[in-house]
Amino acid sequence: MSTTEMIGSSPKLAAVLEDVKAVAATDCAVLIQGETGTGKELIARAIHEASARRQHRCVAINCAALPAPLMESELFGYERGAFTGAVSPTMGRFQAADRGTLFLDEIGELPLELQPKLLRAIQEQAFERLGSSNTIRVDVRLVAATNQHLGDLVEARRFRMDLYYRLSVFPITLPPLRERTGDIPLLVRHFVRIYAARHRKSVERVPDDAMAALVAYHWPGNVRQLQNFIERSMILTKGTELHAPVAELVSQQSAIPGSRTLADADRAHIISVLRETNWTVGGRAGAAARLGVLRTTLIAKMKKLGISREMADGFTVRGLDAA
Amino acid sequence: MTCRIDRLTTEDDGVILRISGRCVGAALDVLRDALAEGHAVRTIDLKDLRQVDRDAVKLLAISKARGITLKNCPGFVQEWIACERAEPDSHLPSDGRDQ
Repeated sequence: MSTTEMIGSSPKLAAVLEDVKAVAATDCAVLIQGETGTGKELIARAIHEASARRQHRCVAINCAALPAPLMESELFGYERGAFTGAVSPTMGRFQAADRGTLFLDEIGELPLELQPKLLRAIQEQAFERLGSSNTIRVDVRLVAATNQHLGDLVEARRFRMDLYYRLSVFPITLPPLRERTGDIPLLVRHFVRIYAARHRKSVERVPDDAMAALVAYHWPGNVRQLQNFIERSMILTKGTELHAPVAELVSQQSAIPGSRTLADADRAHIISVLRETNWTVGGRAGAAARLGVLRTTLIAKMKKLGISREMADGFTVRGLDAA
Repeated sequence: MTCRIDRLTTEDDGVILRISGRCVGAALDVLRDALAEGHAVRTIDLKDLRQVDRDAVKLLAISKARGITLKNCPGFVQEWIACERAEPDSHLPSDGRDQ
């Protein structure tokens, strides 16, 4: 895996990839921050692959997946008899990552009682397995990721300040997809290629209005949500043109209480006026005149917001009118 | 590893079994052995329990009926124990009380 798997050409993504290159050459701890679905694990693995440690393992563990006692034994390992059912000595993830990289995903969920032990292991590169007093020394590069604001967790006393500063030597913040909309067409075409092959379909193009709607949507689940949407679209596609059910996206966006953005409000108002004019855009009685803008301005706006008559029909049934 | 069972000793030589993770399959055998070892298990702490299967629920129900306290018992486990008892062909004994 490498940074080439990060699809996009936006300045924000380019800046992230520059950071990855710069920090990969060092051994310092990296804290990757970003909303869910922005590709935090991909970046963590890219750092490992671009580093001198790439010949060794990149070991990942999700701090939210296990309760504290299990997390402790998974991270540090245990000796026979350390607890009931511990029948043989077992290596933990810290040791498995020796000379490589340990990726701690969802670090904000790490139980408070484990944080001092993790801090010591990071600082001293040493720890003891459960049930043992023998110190094991390792050489591990740490990369952590979170979709939470760790500073807030520190203030709320749910995360230790010393661990926070130790982890955030080099913070990298991944932009949400809505802040790099220019990358959406590239991502769409990338996922179309992948899922066309996987589902044995020959999809050759994405309709312009569908692409415009995909670009206009705010993607709260980011690239992961877009990826899943394209896979579902591919399953629904019968011909050579992608059948993307974009009306559902609009209705989802409208159905979430408190989620209306300025773009949502613009979209709803423009559709409302277009309906009043029976979708006549130009002319003295057209929607552009009623909205007080030039016809070309309205057409550009409709394209930007992904407004089409077909999309708006779905908008009526599933979203706006029901809200 | 998906389940960890810690044996903790209380000041009066009682034993608390603390279960973390998924108490299913082989982990259930470990719990069964721990209960059968003859130690004075007084409490099973289920605070960090994430998943159980029907056999685990039956074992917990039997333990409870024998006077072992199920501490921090999650609601879904309490409900499941009640359902198992309510089964017409249930052979589970009647219970003590959860904490």
